[in-house]
Amino acid sequence: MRPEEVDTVLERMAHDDAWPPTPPIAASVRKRVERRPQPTFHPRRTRTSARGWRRTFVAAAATALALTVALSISGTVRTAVADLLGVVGIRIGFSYDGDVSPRPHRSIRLGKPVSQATASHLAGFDIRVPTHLAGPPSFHYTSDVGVGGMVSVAYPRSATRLSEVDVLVTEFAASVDDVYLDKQTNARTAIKFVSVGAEEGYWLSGAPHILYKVDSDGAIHKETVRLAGNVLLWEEGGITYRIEGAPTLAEAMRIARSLR
Amino acid sequence: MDGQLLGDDELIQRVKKGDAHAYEELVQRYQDAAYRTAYLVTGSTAEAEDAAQEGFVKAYYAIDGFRSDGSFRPWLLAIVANEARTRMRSVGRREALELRLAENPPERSAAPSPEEEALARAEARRVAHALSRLSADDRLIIGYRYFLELSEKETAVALGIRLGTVKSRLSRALARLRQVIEKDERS
Repeated sequence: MRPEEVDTVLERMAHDDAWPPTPPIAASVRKRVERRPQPTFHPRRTRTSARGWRRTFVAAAATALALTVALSISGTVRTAVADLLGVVGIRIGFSYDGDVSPRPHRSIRLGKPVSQATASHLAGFDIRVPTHLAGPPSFHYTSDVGVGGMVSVAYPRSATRLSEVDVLVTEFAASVDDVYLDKQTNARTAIKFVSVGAEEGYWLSGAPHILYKVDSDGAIHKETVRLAGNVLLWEEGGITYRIEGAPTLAEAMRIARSLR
Repeated sequence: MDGQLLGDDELIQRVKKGDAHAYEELVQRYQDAAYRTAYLVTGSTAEAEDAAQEGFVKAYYAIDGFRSDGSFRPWLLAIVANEARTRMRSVGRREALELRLAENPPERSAAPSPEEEALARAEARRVAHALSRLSADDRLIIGYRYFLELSEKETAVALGIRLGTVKSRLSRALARLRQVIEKDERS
């Protein structure tokens, strides 16, 4: 078979007769979802149309500039909102097509510094720490993310400069009805489905994405808008985990597997 | 339903309000694409059926986060493909199974002679056999573009890759496919 003939054969194989017949799936799926209805739809999401999200993004980008998070967006903000994914408590939006050039420094507001024991007490669950990373880390608590607040486990480059964080592990208990963190990615951010142990998650890599907190009305917490680098996200046992700053997916996985 | 063909956006809005019948309509619309995506990954009709069904169920519970803009299909296929990969990993079958495409000869524009029909079937089997020896990523990008006829943008969303890399990845996958076919023919 000549190489150019492969294309022709592939095109012929698109024909229905070339495939095993599709089994009847629709009725089975309907019966399954009827047995377990969707979670109650949160009002703030109904108010957030695709158009609204575009406005939200523009507002986020403007805020980011004002906060000198140093976005330089070239090109036009694309109107299409291609996709929306996420894990419990965190929403991933794919909203614009432009170049984002972050400055090396990122301003991160992690909340008040606490001990690991206090962090676990305040959050209401046992905070897990990656044994793969050399410590000691610092623990920070903020009450405005998650059901009982969010704990950040930070591994700073310098003990005196928490704005420069090598790796950040955040953990919070989330309700399936609520979104606390929004991520707005662009076309240069790759979003990959991954498995973290038995759980499904996402690996966001490439161009940094915009991260910010939203309140119960869907409004942005302006002071929280910042750029985030590579991130691994997943939910496990009712806790949403987020590892930011690992250079590769393999390294992020090693950190995730070492959580104790 | 209302006796009229509703668009995806309208169906999705109904699903978001808890209309399971609207979701059944969406499933019927995309079950071929979902099943074939799962089959490309698993090479097993039974695993593909389970993965497609489970993918649809997961998509239903995740649909609250989907923003309607006509890109439901790649969003769904990404979930189904991930489910298919997970199932393959869980049963410990990392090796690609034999894709059994083209058991029936595809129709052609002019009535083929028995010889042409036999040749077409043999060619399709060779290509399917070669495909089954590629990685799941390669099978998916070839499948999305040739078999499911996804656009480049849809392919990028379905694979979770950047739009700008679709062409180069497809080109590399096709090159590997041709290499496998050539190797088969030499042996």
